[in-house]
Amino acid sequence: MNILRDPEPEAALAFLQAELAGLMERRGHLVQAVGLCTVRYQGRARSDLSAGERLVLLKPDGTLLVHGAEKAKPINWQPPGASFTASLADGLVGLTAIRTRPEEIVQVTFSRVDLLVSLPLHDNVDLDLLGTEDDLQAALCRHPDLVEPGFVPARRERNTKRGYLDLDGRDAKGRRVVVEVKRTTAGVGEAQQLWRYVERMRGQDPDLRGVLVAPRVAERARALLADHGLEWREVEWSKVLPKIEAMRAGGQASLARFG
Amino acid sequence: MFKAKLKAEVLKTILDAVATLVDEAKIHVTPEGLSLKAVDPAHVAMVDLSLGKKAFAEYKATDLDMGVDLDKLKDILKLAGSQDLIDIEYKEDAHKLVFKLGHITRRMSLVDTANMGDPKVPNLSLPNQVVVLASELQQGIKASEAVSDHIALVADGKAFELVAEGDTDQAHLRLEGSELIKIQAPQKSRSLFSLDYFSTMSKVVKATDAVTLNLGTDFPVKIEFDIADGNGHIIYLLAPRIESE
Repeated sequence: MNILRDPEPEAALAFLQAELAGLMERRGHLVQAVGLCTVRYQGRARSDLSAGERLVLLKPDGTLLVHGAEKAKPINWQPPGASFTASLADGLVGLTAIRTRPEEIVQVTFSRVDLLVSLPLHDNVDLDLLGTEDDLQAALCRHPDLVEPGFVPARRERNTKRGYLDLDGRDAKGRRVVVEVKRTTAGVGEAQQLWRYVERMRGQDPDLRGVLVAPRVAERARALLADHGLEWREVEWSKVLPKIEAMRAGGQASLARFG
Repeated sequence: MFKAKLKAEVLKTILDAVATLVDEAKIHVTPEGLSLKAVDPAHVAMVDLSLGKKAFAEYKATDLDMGVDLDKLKDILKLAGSQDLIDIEYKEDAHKLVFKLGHITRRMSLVDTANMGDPKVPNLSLPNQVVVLASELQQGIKASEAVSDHIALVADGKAFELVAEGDTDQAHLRLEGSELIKIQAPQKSRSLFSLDYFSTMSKVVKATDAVTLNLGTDFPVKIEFDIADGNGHIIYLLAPRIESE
């Protein structure tokens, strides 16, 4: 990682030229520049942004982002594919991002540079949310011991609109077990949902068991479950997540591994 | 230079074949026809497509590359019925493709191809080959979709099987001997694939056409078939899922 604080314009230019040369050679460094700057855009339209303190990000794929102090979106940017150059004129440090087709130029001119940072970022992983309710249900199906030893799942209602039955199976003694799954702390609502279902079904099947499975079951929910002869299981996410991760990955190989 | 006239359904087939994998594609144009190679962002699937000039009602071209935004192409095709003829012309100075359908003229900006590399096609040696009617395969996929999100493709001697194992249910397609157009499976092979990918690929081929599957064990499958009445050809490569327990 290279860092330069409050550099003189000449030092800033040398830093940027060296780092941008690295970018072009695909050494993959992310370059950040902070300072007082103006931004000019020329292309399909033209815009001028007067001086302000901003953070400029130059990404290895040719993406340029100019961020102000507020808002999520950058105040100006170039999509991937731009080529960058640094310059110095009249004591002002310039950063130019040029795209052909359509021809677009973003010119950032610093009258003061506060900070320059260059660091490699390695990231081949897509953002992926693990641990949805569907994941938890799938994990319980695949690893029914998490519910209880001997439990054999028979049916999983993945996209049910009724939403009251997550998992259905039999226990080691052959009794039917319905399982309500919650990915966060289960409260009275989930306990009642399970009870409503079991209550309806017990007429036909007096031995029917109902189990609420969640990382945590609230005190009041436990009381309600106990009152109705229902059960609960607390499963720790730390135990379930690796299983979900393994299932998610599903061992999908990349073509790059072959030939 | 590129100037051509073709049936909308031919263009639609190409779009269906490619748009499931990528948003943009680089089409390579030669005097003999079009070709394109694309790999999806996850590097799980690759398409290698060629369309000869005979697939066109009219065709005139010199060598050039065109970067096409497939979403835009999809919108343009919505304007045409499958049997409609579409005129396409490349305007080099404006860097646009001009489509003429009926009384509509639609100009489409092209995408810069400078950053669009050519995917490297892996050189695979796959021991087994099965040729099957697409409708059989599509039926097997339909049965599997209700059961699981992945399938095993198995070839052994005279039989080909497509097996889906769900949490609780199974689906099984088994074809042997004369139920297949051809099978050459000197050694047993079995590989597991994402049903999502496999299904979208298999939908591109006409139900009455033949599909060739080249298979190995824990190896990619190579799926080949003709399009545009034999004037075009598609090769898909799909990486397997490796079973680990």
